[in-house]
Amino acid sequence: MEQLVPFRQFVLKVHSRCDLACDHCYMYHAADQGWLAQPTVMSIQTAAWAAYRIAEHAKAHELRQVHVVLHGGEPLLAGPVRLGQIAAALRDNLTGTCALDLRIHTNGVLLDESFCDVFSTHGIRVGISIDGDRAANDRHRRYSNGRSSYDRVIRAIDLLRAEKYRHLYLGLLCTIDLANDPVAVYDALLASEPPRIDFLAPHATWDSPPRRPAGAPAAYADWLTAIFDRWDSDGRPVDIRLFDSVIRTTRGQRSRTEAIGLAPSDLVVIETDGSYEQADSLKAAYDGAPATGYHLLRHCLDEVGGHPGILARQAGLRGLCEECRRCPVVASCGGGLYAHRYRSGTGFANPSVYCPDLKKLITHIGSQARPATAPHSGPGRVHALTAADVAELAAGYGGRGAVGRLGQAQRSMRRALVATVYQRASADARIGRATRERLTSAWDLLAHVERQAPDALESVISHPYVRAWAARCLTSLGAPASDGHPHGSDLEYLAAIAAAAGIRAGINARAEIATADGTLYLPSLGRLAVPGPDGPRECTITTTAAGTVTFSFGAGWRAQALASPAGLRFCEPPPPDYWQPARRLTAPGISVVLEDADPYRDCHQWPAAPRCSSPELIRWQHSFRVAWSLIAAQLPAYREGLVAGLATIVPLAPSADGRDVSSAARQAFGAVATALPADPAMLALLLLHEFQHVKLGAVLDMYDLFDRTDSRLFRAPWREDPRPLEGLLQGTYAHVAVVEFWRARYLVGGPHAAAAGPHYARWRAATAESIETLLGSGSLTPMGQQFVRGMRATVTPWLADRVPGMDG
Amino acid sequence: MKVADDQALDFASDVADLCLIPLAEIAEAGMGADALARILAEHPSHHLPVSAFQSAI
Repeated sequence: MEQLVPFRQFVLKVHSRCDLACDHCYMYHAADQGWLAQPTVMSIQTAAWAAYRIAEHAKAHELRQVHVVLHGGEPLLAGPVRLGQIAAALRDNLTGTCALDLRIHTNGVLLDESFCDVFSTHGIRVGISIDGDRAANDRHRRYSNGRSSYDRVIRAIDLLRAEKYRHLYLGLLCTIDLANDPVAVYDALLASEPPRIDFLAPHATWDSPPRRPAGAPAAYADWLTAIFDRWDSDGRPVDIRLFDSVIRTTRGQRSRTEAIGLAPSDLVVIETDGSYEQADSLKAAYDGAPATGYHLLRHCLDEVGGHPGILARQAGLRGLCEECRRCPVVASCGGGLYAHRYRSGTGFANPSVYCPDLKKLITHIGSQARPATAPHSGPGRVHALTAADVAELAAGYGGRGAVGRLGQAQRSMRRALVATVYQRASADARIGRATRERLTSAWDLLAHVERQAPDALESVISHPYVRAWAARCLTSLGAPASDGHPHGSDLEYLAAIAAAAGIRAGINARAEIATADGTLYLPSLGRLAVPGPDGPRECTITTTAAGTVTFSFGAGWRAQALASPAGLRFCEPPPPDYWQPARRLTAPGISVVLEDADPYRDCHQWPAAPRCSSPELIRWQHSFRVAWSLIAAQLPAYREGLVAGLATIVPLAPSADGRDVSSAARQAFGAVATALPADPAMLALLLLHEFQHVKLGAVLDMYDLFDRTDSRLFRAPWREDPRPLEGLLQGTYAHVAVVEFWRARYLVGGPHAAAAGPHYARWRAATAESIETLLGSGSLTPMGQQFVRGMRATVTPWLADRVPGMDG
Repeated sequence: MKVADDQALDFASDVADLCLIPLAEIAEAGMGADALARILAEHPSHHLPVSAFQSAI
């Protein structure tokens, strides 16, 4: 099932002719000659239709912003009045629907104050094409009579650098020519103080490959690498879109340019006559390549979105040829610009004609950027799974070693998250002075505990919801200033972590924590809920090496406890209600925390239940013990993984309609949340099911198993609504365990076998079907294919089990 | 993306090993920031209602 990728970038060809005669221009010197049939200037009526169609599309897809580029030919040839009219039509149609990022891309030779005043009125930012210094620029960018354009382009840039128009200055676009000295080009561009630079390889295909010097198979990479190294050593003084996109894609983020990356294209061109076209770069492929046959007057943009050519540029990994799909840099490269893959006969099913350059450049930038993530961790140490681990996990299981190694990677992530919360919060001017001081004290205490008793700190930080807390903090810390300030009470949790670590370490320490209402949660220990006046109150926690812990809320309330590995034992005053210790569920060979107090546990799809009463705790304990005995006896392959990784169970509130509800959260490795089902066997099933999500989530934190940019939806047999690829993968992996649960119930015989048979047959077929859907998606990475094939190897033999009344 | 080699004995991941690095160093060096983009990225929900198989055992 294909989900329409809405267009967000619109190129309006407002003029189809140019006043320069650059000999490297794809518009006039490439295979496509469609410009000859275009009117010279876009009419007001066409512009109004374009604005209407864009607004219609933005409204239908609830887009928050669209980007429109006024383009050509040379768009300034349309004149300031026409450009102002076009901009007004766009703003009139889009106001109240979504934000408009409006730009113009020009050679600059006509730019003067009359244009700039119009651009200022309508908020049109200006990008200029220039290829470097005078010699570099004039190699191609000349008038038809051979005259230089350089002085006029520099005059245009100087106009944009002037204070009056500086806000309009978007950046510079440079087309690469290997004959130019790369560093000289970079220096010349930098001297113009652009907010951004982009480098563009000259459009080429396998039919018309780029010229390269003999013996330099990756000459374009060498050229760009010289600039990257200089830019990097300069401290990256300007935004270079290509380099930033390589860095982003190597970190799993989205590229900012269609030239690289797997992200689906969301760009469409509206020609001067109102016809829709695909990306301009396709002009390099063959005559007519960009055409769609659609027109503003007759077709909405959703129809254009269904055009095979548009869809082909949205196919991500599955749209690439086999050679690209096997390539280690494919997620960054994405096969390069679509047009550059073209070859007569095979079409676009080829690597880019710039493949050697892309691979070399990405590898070089990756090797420069990567150490920043771990400069102190030894010789590039990263977490890894062994081949045996991967095979075990892929089969649906994973023993103590494999799950333990998943947990170690999670440990690094939690440490990175906690450290980054402090780093960002302490540098955030929006944080109040008192909060900042407590934050600093907490951080100092954490560092002290880590030096004195690292295991004590680890026992607190390993609490699953520390990551959920940190992710929440970093999301608010990363929000724009206009969105307010990070919630102070969230940051207080750092002091709670420090205090809990100090208590567990048994050292002389002091922590101060502001509470909203006298309630204080100490991760891994429990919750202090002190009655008293409404409103915020500050708690001081003092610990000693003798193991005493004193809690003080001002002068009004004070309590003392003794710390032990089992937790806190309050002795003064006696604790009927105010102390709610963390409690555990135990069964032979396993012990987990029943977490019903942490405020950050409520990050699941269903609401967390409040603190369990004593009778509820007894029911939980009974169910857990029975469930565990069932797992140990009937599903032993899952036992070791659960022992190694299941640390916490969070009770969820029962659903209103009586359905069983359960959940796993990607940000809480080691935790499973579930409402207590009536039948302990169902608890076993829910634990197995959710722990599959926990394991796979941790694998996905380490590796890419699928193309994350694939936005298609797929049928999942266990749901009515179609699912994204990750959802289908997660669901299928969970159901491997679900099927095995029912299989075990069915094969073991006895009173439950007859009822289990239909479940077994149903979920076995559904899981097998989903596995084939995944393998046929074309969007699994090589490791993803290996992983899903492992799932298939587990499930396939089960298809031979006879289930009376359920077999074909 | 880390596309692991089928033939590899170990599958090196993108996750830097910070287990033995003091928290203060991690914060001071800003090591966490690069490691976090992947963690903080929004993941599609994988919550699955269990009602589909909640009927009696």
